This record gives sequence, C-alpha cells and structure tokens, in this order.
Amino acid sequence: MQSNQKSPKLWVTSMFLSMVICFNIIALITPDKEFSETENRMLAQSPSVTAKSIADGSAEKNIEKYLSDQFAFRDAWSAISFFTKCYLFREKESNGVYIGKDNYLMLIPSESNPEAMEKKLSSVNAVTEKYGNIRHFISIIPNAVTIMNHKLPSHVPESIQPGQITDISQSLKGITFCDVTGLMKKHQYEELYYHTDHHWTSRGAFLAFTAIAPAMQLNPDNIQYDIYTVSESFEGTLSSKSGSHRYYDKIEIYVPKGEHPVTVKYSDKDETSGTIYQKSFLDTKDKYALFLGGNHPLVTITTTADTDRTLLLIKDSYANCFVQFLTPYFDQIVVVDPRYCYDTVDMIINEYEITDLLYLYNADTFMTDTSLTDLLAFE
Amino acid sequence: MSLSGVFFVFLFFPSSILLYRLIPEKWRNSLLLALSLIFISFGNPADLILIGLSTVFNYFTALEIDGLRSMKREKTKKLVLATGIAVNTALLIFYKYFVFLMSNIGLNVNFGIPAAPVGLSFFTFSAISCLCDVSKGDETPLKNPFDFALFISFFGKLSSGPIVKYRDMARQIKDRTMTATSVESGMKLFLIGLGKKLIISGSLGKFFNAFRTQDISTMSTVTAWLGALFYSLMLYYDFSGYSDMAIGIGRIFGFSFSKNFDHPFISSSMTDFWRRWHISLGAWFRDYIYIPMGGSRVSKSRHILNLSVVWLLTGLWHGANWTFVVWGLYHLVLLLLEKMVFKKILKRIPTIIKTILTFLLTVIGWTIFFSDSLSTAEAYLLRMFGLGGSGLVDSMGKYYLASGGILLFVAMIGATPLLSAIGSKIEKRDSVLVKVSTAVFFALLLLISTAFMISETVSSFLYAQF
Repeated sequence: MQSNQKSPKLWVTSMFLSMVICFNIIALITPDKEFSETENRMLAQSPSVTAKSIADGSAEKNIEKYLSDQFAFRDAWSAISFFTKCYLFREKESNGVYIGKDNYLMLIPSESNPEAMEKKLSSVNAVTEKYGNIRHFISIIPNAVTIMNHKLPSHVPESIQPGQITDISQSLKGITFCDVTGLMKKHQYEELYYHTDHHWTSRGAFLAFTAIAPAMQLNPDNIQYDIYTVSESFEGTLSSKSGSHRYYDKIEIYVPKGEHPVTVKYSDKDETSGTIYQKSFLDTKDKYALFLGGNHPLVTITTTADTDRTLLLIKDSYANCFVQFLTPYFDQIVVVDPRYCYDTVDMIINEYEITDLLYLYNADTFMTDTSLTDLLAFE
Repeated sequence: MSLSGVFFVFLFFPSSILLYRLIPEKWRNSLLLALSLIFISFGNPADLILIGLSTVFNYFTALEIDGLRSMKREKTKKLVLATGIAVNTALLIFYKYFVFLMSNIGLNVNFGIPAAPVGLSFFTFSAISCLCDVSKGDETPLKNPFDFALFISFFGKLSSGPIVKYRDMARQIKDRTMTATSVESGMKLFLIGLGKKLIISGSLGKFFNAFRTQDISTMSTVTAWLGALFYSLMLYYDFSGYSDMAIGIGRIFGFSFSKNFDHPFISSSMTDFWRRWHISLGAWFRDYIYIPMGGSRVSKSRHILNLSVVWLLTGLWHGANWTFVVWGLYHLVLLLLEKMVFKKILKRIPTIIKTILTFLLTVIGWTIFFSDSLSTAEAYLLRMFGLGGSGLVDSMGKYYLASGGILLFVAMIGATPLLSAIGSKIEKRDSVLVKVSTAVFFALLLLISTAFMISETVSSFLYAQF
C-alpha cells in the first residue's frame, strides 16, 4: 500500500483501508466476549467451519453473526445509529422502541399468533377444570405503552393491548380474572414503569397488588411497607435496544414492616437465601435481577405466615418484583417460569399441595411466549 | 454473501483490494476469478456447479457461433444461437417460473425446486448478451475459458447486477487500466452506495415494514400514500445503492460499468423514467429483444406488439407473480398513451407538472409491484384514491408523517441531482482542505453505515429474490 500513501489522489481509499485494518487489528487483539451485559444475551462465538456447514450455507450466516456480535464498541455503534435516527431524521422510534417524552422508552406492543393464543388459553381452561379444588387467578399487566400513553410521541396509534386483554378475559372460564388496567390508568402520572427498562417499578407492582389482593381474598391494608431506594443508576434493556443512553432510573424496594422471615430456595442452585433481594446484582448492568436473582426455573419461598395457603405463581419477569407483596400472605410460594422450567403443572401442584394458583404476566410476553402451553400440558 | 455485510465490507473486499495490488499483473484475472468463486461458494457451494455448467456451455456455444459466423454458415449459426438462448432461458424458467407456470395451468408441482443460484437473473442475461454479440460480430469470444468465467461470475456484479453486456466487458477483461483516479472514484461510489443501502434504505424499510402489517381495509388515504412513498424511495435507495457499490467495486479493479440509475425521480415522462431507472435492464431488453424484433421502424400494430412483448418480459423478469405482469403492462399502457395519444398535449404542459405527474404515476405503479397479490393491490389502490378505508387521515398516518417525514424529505432531496452537483463543484477546488474534508465526509459515512450495519439486522437485498 506504499504506493497509495504516496499518491495524494487516494485519500478516500487510504482512509477506508486504514480504518478497516484498524478494526481488524482491534478485533484480533481483543478477546471474544461471551456475554453482552448491555443486551443481556449470549454473543455468537467463533464458528466451527466444517465441510458440512459450508455445504448447507450455515457457515456464512454463522461467520456474519460472529463478526457482528464480536465487533468492537457495539454500544457505541448503537448510540451512533440512535443519534442519526432520532436527532438527524427526528424519528420517533428506534429498533421497536418508542422514544417517548421525558426520556421515556416504551416497547412497541406485539401482535399475538391467534392459533398459539387459542392453545394457550384452552390449556389454562383445562388446568382450571381439572383442579377444581384450588383457587385460580390470572392477571395480565398492560405495558407502559398502554398505561403511560401521555408520555408517547404524538399521534402514536392507540395501544392494541386493552383489546387483547379483554379478549383473553372473555376466553377464560372458572378462573378469577384480576383486572389492573383501570386502576393503573388512574395513576398513570406516577412512575409505574422504568424509563429505560421494559419492566414495571415496585410502585407499579404495588398498585396492581392493591387491585389483585381483594380478588385473591388477601387484605392489603394489614401490611405497611418500608420503601428503600437501592439504586439510582439503573439503565435497562430498552436503553440497549434503542441505543438511547440519556437517563438513569432509580430502583425502589417495598419491604413489609414487621417480622416476615423467608427462606428462598432456587431449583437451579444449591444455596438457600434469607431474602428475596439479591443485592449483588446492583453492581451489574442487570439491576432488575435484584428481585429474586432474575429468572429461574422454579423458586420456593417458605415463610412463617401460617395461613394454610400455598401459592403457585406461574409468571414472567414482571412477577419478580411482585413477589415482595405476596410473602406475608402465604406459607409457601412456588414461583415457576415456564420459559426455563421443564416440569409439568401436575407434578408441581401435587408435590407442593398447592391451594392457590396465580398466573401473572405482562401483556407483551403473554401475547408472544408459548412456553406456558408446554408447562400446562397433561401427560 | 451480502455486499453490505460485515464480512464483505471489513474482510473480503479490503483483502481483495490489497491482494490485487500486491500480485503481478498477469495473475490479476485469476485472482478475481478465484475471489468470485469463493464469493459464490460462501453462500451456497452448490451454486458453483450450476454457474460452472452455465459458463462451460456458454463458452463453447460462443466459440461455435463465432466459428460458424466466420465460415458464413448463417443458418447453422442461427440454429446454434437459438439453442443457446433456449438453454439459458430454460434454466431461468426452471428455477424462477416453473411452479408459477404450472399453477396457472392448474398443476401442482409436488417436487421441490431447489433455490435459484445467486444472481441467476443477472448472469443468464449477461450470457445471452454474449451469444448475441458474438453472433452479430460485435465482439469476438474470449478464448481463455478462465477469462470467460470471470465475465460471468465477477463478484462485484454477480449477485445484484447491473446486467453487464458482453460487448461492454469482454475487452476490459483482456485489457484494462487502473488509474488512481478510477480507484478513488470507485471507492467513493462504493461508500455512497453502502450509505444509501444501510442508512437510508434501511430506515425507510423499517417504516415500510410497519405499513406491511397494517390492515389495508381500514387504511386512510394519507397512510396509503405514505406507505407507497416509503416503498418507492426504499426500493430506489436499496437498488441504486447496490448498483453504486457494484460499479464502485468494478472501478477499483479497473472495470468501467455504465451507471444503472440516473436520478429517476426527476423524470419528466415515462419514457424519461425508463432511461433513468435500472438502465442496464432497459438497455438489455432494447438491444436483445426490441431492436431485433424491428423496434419502432415497423408498422404501428407491429410496433405495439414489440413493445408489449418487451414490457410483459420486463414485468416477469422481476418475479413469478401476476402483480409483476400487471406492473409491466401498466408501464406499457402509460408509455403507449404518452407516445401515441397525448404526445401533442404533453408538449404544452410545463416540465415541473409533468415531473410531478410522472413521479405520482410511478409511485402508483410500485403499489402493484409490492403487493402480494392483485386483490391486495386493488384494495391498496382504492385506499390511495380515498375509496373505502377510514377517511383522509388517521392517527397512524399522522404518526408516520411525524416520525418519518424528515427521513422522507431527506430521501427525496437525496434522489435529485442536487447533492451530486454540490459534491462535484466542491471537488473541483483542488486544495488540501477540500481533500481532507472529503476524506472526513467519507470516513463519517463509513462510520454511520457501520453503526447501522452493527446495530440492527439489516434486511437483505430486495432484488436478489427476483
């Protein structure tokens, strides 16, 4: 390339080649990362290129995925593309996320697959019918896009979630449907959801609890809470997804006043813990994992409540910060995440002598995730 | 392998340039051929067999035709030429149209047709141009089979065109000069194409995908027009971006390919549009179908027949669906009206009005083009003209105007000759400042393109499926 650098006519070509070479050198000297904290996912690793993978064309896809996953400064690139889209072109969404007012980021709601939804709902109905001796409850939590619509960019079409939730409630039989949309909507000006994350805040979960508790015959007035702010530097998943890094959320926890000891046991770990909060996660990017240490296949929480009630909570990650409100009311809570749990609901109900069953999902996951159907399948 | 992917931009392409500079001149064609074979086998190695067979067949056919031509055995030559064209066409029909043809005569194809090899529509057209050019004596066949293989499979143009005619490329394979100026302008064109594809077309595509999932029956008029505009500009930026990259790559390796797009959205008539949109395809149909059939120097009815054949085939070239056929015929009707009915009236209309009218007519055409079926195309067109649907404007239309309006505006300005005029004016000033700022501009373009490349899964090239 000496001839290039000598020739004054090849400025752009020299620029291109030197930039590309720099990136290749950086790629060579930096070790591959296994996990991306900002994106909260495993990154593609060096693909093994075999005769077979070349022949079926998978080698190309794997190499391309590996190169882009391991490309240096991934976060900086998404910030540059966010800057281009939202400052230069003034777009109101980035990578499936609405760029709302006051730095509010909100996931664009997903449509459900009608067939998969019908299967899911009929398996819920089948479980309700089979276990007539226990109490069944379900609550679908609308996402920020539905509740905090005053923070959305102007003219965003009305959320499809209220319609989806009504359809679900009408298709279920023999189960108490706990509606929280109306109450949350009334409190829409409070911080019910994180700005930078797709989860709700403890405040949002508490509000929903006051609506769900009466339906579950729990008295929410019995318990008072100490509210602690445990972090003020939470930058959640929607920041990473959209590339917008302009706000830090605070995380609050609601600790019931008085003595409420718990023993928490994770099925995928050997240790037990005396708290549902795993504070070590506050030092990581994934601070929401403070609640129950993120998602586990099955968690049992044993309390001293002495109410003769055992709850099976079938849930997604929204429920992780909801559990703090349930512990004073049940002797034992079995928390099951069907996305990671390969047991069947029959086994769990019989083994733990379940008296109450609550399905708690956020609307977006309930619309798209199909693992619930597998968990509820009978043998 | 996608020209706008990480592997191509950051590894394959730069290493190709460096290798090309480093090895002795006599090995350069062999290097390009080897690189092209790697390029093909990277996506699907089975394509190598088919492209290889096509190369061998066309190489010997071209030699045979040339021999017969020099011996003046016209009849046999025509027979061999016809066979050659038929074999190439049969290949195209088998991979692209067989299922479509069978379903239209009520037969279901029960065996799986393998996926079409990369660039099939482009390289078979190049091969046919070779047979025709050799037969007419416009060009002699390449004697070296490896040179001929390079003509068919050069990685710059293989996957997405432009459709390079044999007579434009054959001599360049044997003898071409690589100057610093051509390399530099090729690199600029490549980066501009990359930016067009990743930044503008990618962003427009995101919006269009949101429209795709909407229920057409309740669409408002403004929403329908916005969707059509997003698609029209996305298609232009996608395809012309790829063409710029291909022509740029060609220049870097010493080839000079003619431009494939010339600001089509400022056309003042449909005739003008087709001189500016996908120029290489129009030129191919003109040279190898329209003119051999007699062109316009025939009776009026024969002229209309010639045009009809060309536009039917142009429509079909884009894909095996009746929507493409209707889209081709739509352009045929507009061209006939323009040439034969409204010729005098159009002369009196100011150019600006004709330009806007042409733009709107092409946008309407693209709605037929992007619809999955004729019935959805019909529903979509009805919404565009305010029939059915939910009135003039709904919140969806307002939202996409607010969110994508500036992007649309930027894309429309970028589609006029304004930016390139400013660019070439600046470049004429020969100062260090201009050179440094040019390099900085292109560095930024590369950085932003990379940001879009890394930060989202880029949709693949639209024309590759045609």
